[in-house]
Amino acid sequence: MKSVEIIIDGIKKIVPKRITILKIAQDVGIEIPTLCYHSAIEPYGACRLCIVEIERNGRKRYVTACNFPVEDEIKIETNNENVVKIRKLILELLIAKVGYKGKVKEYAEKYEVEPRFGIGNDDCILCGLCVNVCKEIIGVSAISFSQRGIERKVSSPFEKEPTNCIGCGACSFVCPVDAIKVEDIKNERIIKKINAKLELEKCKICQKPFIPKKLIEYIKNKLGANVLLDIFLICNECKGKNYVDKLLPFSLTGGKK
Amino acid sequence: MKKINSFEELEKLRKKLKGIKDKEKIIISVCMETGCIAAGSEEIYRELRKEIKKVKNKEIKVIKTGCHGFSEVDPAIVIYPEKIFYIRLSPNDVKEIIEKTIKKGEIVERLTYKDEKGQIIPYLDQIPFYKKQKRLVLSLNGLIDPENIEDYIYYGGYTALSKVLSGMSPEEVIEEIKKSGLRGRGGGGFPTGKKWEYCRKAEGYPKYVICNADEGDPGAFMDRSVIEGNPHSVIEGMIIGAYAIGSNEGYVYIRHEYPLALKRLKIAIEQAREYGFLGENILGSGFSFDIDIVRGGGAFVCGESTALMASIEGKVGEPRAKYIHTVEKGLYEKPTCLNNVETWANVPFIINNGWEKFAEIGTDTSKGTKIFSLVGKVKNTGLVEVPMGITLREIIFDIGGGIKENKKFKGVQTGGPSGGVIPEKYLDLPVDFDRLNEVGSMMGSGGMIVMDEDTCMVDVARYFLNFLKEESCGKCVPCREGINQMLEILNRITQGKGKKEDIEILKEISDFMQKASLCALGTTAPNPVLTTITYFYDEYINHIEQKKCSAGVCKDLIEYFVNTEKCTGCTLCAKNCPVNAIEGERKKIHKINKEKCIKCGICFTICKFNAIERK
Ligand SMILES: Cc1cc2nc3c(=O)[nH]c(=O)nc-3n(C[C@H](O)[C@H](O)[C@H](O)COP(=O)(O)O)c2cc1C
Ligand code: SF4
Ligand code: SF4
Ligand code: FES
Repeated sequence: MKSVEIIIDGIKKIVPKRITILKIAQDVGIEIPTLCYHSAIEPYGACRLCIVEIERNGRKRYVTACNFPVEDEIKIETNNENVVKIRKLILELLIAKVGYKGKVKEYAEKYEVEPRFGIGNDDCILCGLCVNVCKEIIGVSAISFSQRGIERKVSSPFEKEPTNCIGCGACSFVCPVDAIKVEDIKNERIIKKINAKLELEKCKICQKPFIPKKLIEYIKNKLGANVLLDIFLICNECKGKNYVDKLLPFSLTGGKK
Repeated sequence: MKKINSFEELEKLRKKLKGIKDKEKIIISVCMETGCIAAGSEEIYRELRKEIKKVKNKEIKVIKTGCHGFSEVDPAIVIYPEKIFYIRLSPNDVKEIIEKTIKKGEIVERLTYKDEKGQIIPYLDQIPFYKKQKRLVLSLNGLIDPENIEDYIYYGGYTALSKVLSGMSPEEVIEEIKKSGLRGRGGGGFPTGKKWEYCRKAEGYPKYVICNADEGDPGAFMDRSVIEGNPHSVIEGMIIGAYAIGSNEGYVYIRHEYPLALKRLKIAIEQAREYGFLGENILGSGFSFDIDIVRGGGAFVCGESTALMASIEGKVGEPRAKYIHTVEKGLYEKPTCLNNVETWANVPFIINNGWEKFAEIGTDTSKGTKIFSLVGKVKNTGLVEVPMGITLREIIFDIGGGIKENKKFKGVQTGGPSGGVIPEKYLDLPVDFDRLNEVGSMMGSGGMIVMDEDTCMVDVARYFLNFLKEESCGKCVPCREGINQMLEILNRITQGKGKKEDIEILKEISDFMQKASLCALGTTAPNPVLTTITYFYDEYINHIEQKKCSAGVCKDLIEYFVNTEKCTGCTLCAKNCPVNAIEGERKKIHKINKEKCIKCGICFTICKFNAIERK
């Protein structure tokens, strides 16, 4: 048997086995909040915000929708009282850590969270998206988590300049709380959060430095097509329209889409 | 040694060993485990060897063995066959032992164990610490040299393997384990036979078996003792398990800080290979299996199954979702069977004696024995192996000898840092997996910390939570942030800044962590908090409302002062106060300067006239 019948928020549906609850929900148009999930990246299961209640053989439990593979007939409740209570507390704890930022702010407002544990001012919620995009999509693993528990943080190895960072800015692009700022200052790209400093190549047309030299190298190796390379040497303004971004899952040129 | 190529050859070797070893009439066993060595057993061993050489009697042998478990009396020796037990030895005692006991068969009374009333108890089996124990897994600890495979073989080692490979199908082995009722000793108590069955049925090759020897619980040393005392029992169990699930590759994941266990395990694996119990075509059966050792990542969380597997793969030791079980997709995404050291070590017994013999020990749902490391405010600390179903009272008062300094019992924490604290009213609770869960604690891997009346339960909750805060991997929000917030609240309460609603918030976060955490570290972390709130509610209220710590532990809530009627002005307290907070002249009443006092309590302990009081 390759498919099973499930019930999600009262809706009956036949789904292929091992599909995740989040995908089912997206199919039927139910919104489940996520902080550490991105469709191009392996689910990490760290923020727990996507938690839902499932019932199997009369037994209820809580699972994370982003990575729970459906195996058999289950009943899923994505937004009942218990689930909302858990989500609220997650958001409340995150507010205690970083305050009202990005997606945390958005969800906190939606769930009407009243913070009891204070309003923090860290920059990062440790969702892991930046680390995982760098590892899985870009394939360079320039950054990782260091330390355990409450001391955990995203950093470059030993907090030194990451030798393999190509300055693509994918980490910044995926961050749900905008913790990673990419700044181009003169002929350098600086990503302070991860101690990266990269020399920039000039635009062939306007001569403004705009793309990290290492990124060009990376693209060369990846595409292996020298012919196309000129496209990457022209800055967005001069190109008018950035069609490179359409070819790749993330903006390699650093700017947001 | 030539490799053993068949079951017959193994029996032949055993016969040969019998011929040699049966001549050894007196065996003096010196325990040589991490704990005993620290207490000085190496010197005793050397001295014994030296002196025995002079006696020139081939019938007497001195061996290094695993531990007898009674840490309190280390270093100690056992003289077989009578099992004369000499304790707290120093190298100077050796000559007398040889002269009197070895040569003349006399007991050296001053070296024996004495009970409460001063009664001499020279024989190991009659000592209360051992009387109620049942040693299955530890049966050979203290009797064999763990660095000599022939000792193990002489006492029946590898007969279970031989039995399995010569006449049992993998399914029959699994059935035997299932019927025995063996449950995992590493924490969760999952039925071992079922795990093996799932793993056997799972699709994919290669399949792996792993032994979890990470033992991260502070103060626990059950697994270390099994490996240091009888490593082959674990290896034999693993080979049998591998055969049952259809695996040819195994790993032992051993805690970083266990150099002696690692050394003995290495020697044991090498010897097992040399004798043909590991490697290709084991005992000529056609079955092949080998074991690699991996050293642990040095974090408590690395003992969690998925984190452990990630760590073996060379990745960061961090848990991941287990919605697809590791028996299906474990190490390198292949079917993997992970069991604890003690679980593996139970297997040879079950195979050798049949499931019935094992299942007749214990309770309905928990069979066999369990090893606990009994520590804290109990008189006899050490490693104890008891039948499941024994009561906490028997462990603490009969085996453990009761509370130190005859203080009052207050609670016992079972199951390691994320276990619960069990109060006096449950002392007659039979110890088994389910009963411990019912009262909010757990079996865990077998830690047992006894607490007396001087223990503050809010402080206990804070202490364990603090450990877990350091050890949480920090991956998921409920555990990382939840522990952090709970700890803030507990800190506040112990400082006298608690609010009444704090208790409800602690319960709310606990409930949330149990439901939403990614791994069992987070889901069980609230146990110390919840149980202390449930069983010692008044103590929380006392801290919050009266701002009092009745146990006198929370520094911010206590005060030391001089009882002017009792003070003789001897100046002892003033001389010993580390911060010079005590003023007063000789023969005049002293006074504690509250501003300066750091509440260390030195004066309280040191005053000969009980003139320092605490409130
Ligand atoms: C935080 C954490 C730490 C653990 N540490 C250990 C350990 O040190 N040793 C162990 O055998 N099991 C440990 N476990 C349990 C393992 O995940 C696993 O359940 C066990 O090794 C399975 O073996 P068993 O079925 O024989 O008990 C730990 C679990 C958690 C959540
Ligand atoms: S920096 Fe952003 S993307 Fe990276 S872990 Fe922190 S919150 Fe997530
Ligand atoms: S529950 Fe704790 S230890 Fe487990 S994954 Fe979450 S943060 Fe890590
Ligand atoms: S989105 Fe599922 S755990 Fe973060």
